[in-house]
Formats: sequence, C-alpha cells, structure tokens
Amino acid sequence: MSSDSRRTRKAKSSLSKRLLFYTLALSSSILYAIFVVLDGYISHEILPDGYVFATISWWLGLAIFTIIVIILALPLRTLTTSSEVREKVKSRAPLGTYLDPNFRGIRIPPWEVLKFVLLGGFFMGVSTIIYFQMIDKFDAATFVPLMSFVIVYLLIGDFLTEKDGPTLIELQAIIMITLGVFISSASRSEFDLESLAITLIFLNGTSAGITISHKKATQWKDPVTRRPLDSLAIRYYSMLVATIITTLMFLLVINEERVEMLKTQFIASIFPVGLSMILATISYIFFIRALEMGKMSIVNSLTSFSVIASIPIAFIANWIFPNEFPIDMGGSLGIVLKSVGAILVLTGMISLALSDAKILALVKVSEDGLKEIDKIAAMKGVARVSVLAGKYDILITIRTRSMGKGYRNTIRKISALPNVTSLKTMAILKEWSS
Amino acid sequence: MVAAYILIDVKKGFTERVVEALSMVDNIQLLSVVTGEFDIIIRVVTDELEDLYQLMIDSIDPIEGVNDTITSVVEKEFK
Repeated sequence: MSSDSRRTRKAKSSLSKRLLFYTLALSSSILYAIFVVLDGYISHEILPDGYVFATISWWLGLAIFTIIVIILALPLRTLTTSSEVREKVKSRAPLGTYLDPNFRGIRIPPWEVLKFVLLGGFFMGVSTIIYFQMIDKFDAATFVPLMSFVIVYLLIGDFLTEKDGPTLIELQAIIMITLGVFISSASRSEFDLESLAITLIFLNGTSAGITISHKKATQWKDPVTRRPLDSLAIRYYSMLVATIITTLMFLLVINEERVEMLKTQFIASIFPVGLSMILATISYIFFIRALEMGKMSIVNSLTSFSVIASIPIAFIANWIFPNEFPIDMGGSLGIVLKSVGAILVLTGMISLALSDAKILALVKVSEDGLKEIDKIAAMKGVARVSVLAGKYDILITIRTRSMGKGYRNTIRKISALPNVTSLKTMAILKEWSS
Repeated sequence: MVAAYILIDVKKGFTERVVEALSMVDNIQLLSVVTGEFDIIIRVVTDELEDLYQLMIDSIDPIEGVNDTITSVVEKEFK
C-alpha cells in the first residue's frame, strides 16, 4: 500500500467524537432490532418453550463468544507511533481493538470493577428469567411497550451518578423518544394490570440494574494505563453470570417435555440462535462503548430506536422469507401510530444531537491552588480535570448543553475560587476521537 | 504511560490541513478545534516521555501551518 493511500484510509477512519457516540448507539439499536426479529422466528418455529430457548441461547452465546474472544486476542493488528517513526516503534495489538480500542486480550479485571460487571450479569440473568416467565403468562404485546419506560429509572440514575442532571432539552428529547417508542410498539396492545406491575417493578428494575452496573464498570480506569475496562470483558463476564443463573432456573423448571425439546431441537437451533447471540453480543459491545461516552438515559433512549428500526427489518425479512417472518402491522391505525412514533423518535434524536457543547478551560492557580481540584472535579458539568506540568496548571473539560449553561454552572464558579489566578476558556468547535 | 496536551497555534487558513495531517498520527486520543488563544488542542498518549519527544519532532512540528506549540504533560487526572 502506498504512503498516500495509507494516509487517505487513516484520515477517513477518524470519526468525530459526537458522530462516534451516535454511530455506536444507533448501530447497537439496529443490530438489536435484527436479532429481536430473528428471535421472533426462533421462538415461533424452533424453540417455542422460553426456558429452553433462554438456556440454549446463553450456552451457545457463551461458547461462541469464548471462541471469538480468543481469536480477537490474537496480536495481529500493527500499531505505530506515527508515519515517520513507523519503522522505529512498532507494536502489535489484538484484533479486538477494532471493536474496542481498550481491548487488550482476555484478563480477569480487578475486583473493584469486576463487582459491577458481575452485578450487571446477575441482573441480566434475573431479567431473562422474569422475561421468559412473563412470555409464558402474558401476551408479549401487553408488556413489551412498557419496557421503554426504563428510561425514567435511568434519568434518576443519571441524577445520582453524573452529578449533572438532565437538562430541559435532554428531558424533552427523552420524553419524545420514549413516547415515540411507546406509541410505535403499543399500537396493538391491551394492558393488563398484573403485567404492568411486574414490568414496571421487576423487568424495568432489573433492566435499569444492568445499565447502571455496567455504567459504573465503564467509569473505572486502570490506575497505571488510565484505560477503562474494555466492553468485550464487560460483556463476557456478564454473560458468564447470566448463563449460570439461567441454567439454575432451567434446572428448577426442568421436565421431560423440555429435555426432549432440548435434544430434538438443539442441532436445528445452533445456526439461528448462534447468529442471534453474535448480533446480540456485538450490539451490547457497542451499547457499552456508547455508555462509556454518554449519559445512561440518553444512550438508552437512542438505542430504543430499535423499535423503529425493527419495522423495515421485519419487512425485509418478510420479503425474503414470507412464511418464516409474517408481518402484522395492526391495520391502518397501527401504521399511523407507528409513523407518528417514528417521527417523535427521530425528532427527539435530532434535538439531542444538535444541543451539545464542550468547553476547555486552562487554569493557573496560586501555590495552594491544587488543593481545590476536588472542588473543581465535583462541579456540575466537569467531565475531566487534568493537572498539568508547564505554563498552565490545570486543564478542565466541561460538557454542557449550551455555552450559557456552561458559563453559569461551571466557569463562573471556577473563576470565583480564591486560588485561581488566571482562566482561559475555549469552546470546542469540532472534536475527533481515535 | 504518558498523557499530554499539546496546544497548537495554527497559521491563518491552515486549520483544515493541520487537522488532516494530525488525523494520521496514531497516538492522538482527542483532537479538538477550539476558539480562543489556540486553534487546536490534542491529547496524546505515549509509553514514555522519549516517545512524546519523538512524536513532537517527527509528527507534529514538521506539519505545515503549525506556528507554535505548548506541550503540557498530565501529572494527575480526576474524572
């Protein structure tokens, strides 16, 4: 490859950070929509028993992901320091860095982060059990739309973990997206009080538990490398716990009929279930990476785009395999409601994308000034505080929904600190992330 | 592991070209075009200070349009 073509490829591979965030969240939702459509076929045609389906899914998923992670850990990707020193400094990185730049092979994370990963896996397992018990008892259409209200739980979680609650614009966008998803998916539903209570308390509770635990896991940084735990490790250890919990559940409800289905349908289910779990895993890896970059409520509302994405995917599947993937849009009213829901979701997403600002502040402090760093780090909107050697003492990264809010909530307070002797602010016009 | 911020003053009309050149340097974690005293701020991560020096000499300073740079090594970080 010539130097010029290599340069072009590299330049094109750089994504702006904002674009990367939205690409990850939306890719996750599209993959999610594909595997949900596929799961519909599997549960209808191959594994009608939810417990058998869940057990085979987790076991196959874990086995396939183990093989994939081993392959991804192979050091086949060449990393270089720069084009000029390429020959001097050359190192090998695992293939998995294409999926997540923080991936450095299979390793057991330290307990301080592993506990959050395992907790997320525990919630995943419990959520699977509740989901399949509900599928057994109720029509999915009576409770699936209500699952979109998990965003309300995450909004509360954001208030508690982000030290900067959602702004009015974020709230408006989240409400639009949630209502859009609700209208789209509830267009054929009748509600049942019991399923409403179980969904709002247990199903959404465990779903929020997964997101909050994994958000906590993404916030951890390796004390030496300052890298977060990679999304593949978070997914892998969570799957391990979820598989154990689902297996225990299966052993509790095991009977002859289920054992027979497991025996007769296992071979037929390997390809579709395996494919579904690969898609689910990549979808979740993207979800975790987006979670690392943004607020839980916003990532969740963006990934709920899957409800909209599932509509064209269902049509494509029906067009290719009309018998295996039947479509029921709920008549003309259903189509209207789905369209209204889709418009609400898209409008909410666009308003979120257009209302995001970042400010950098270069600060000089007096001799005792560095003692105030904890105060600065705790301020609303402060995303990162870097203590520097050289001309400036501190670089502060501020995330805000508007410049005015950034000034009111953060800049004014920093400049009022007695030990701050100089403050220079710079608005970020555009940002790229490797 | 050494993290550093490099504050870059760019010659008028060269921002796009400098951004394009910087996007080819692998050790850059973040690249921000900003308003104010500087035009571009980048965050780089290298294994050692020697690599940071090499990066400056080989990849940043020679870029056409880079007027001046201020390099600040990160001593500690809070998030």
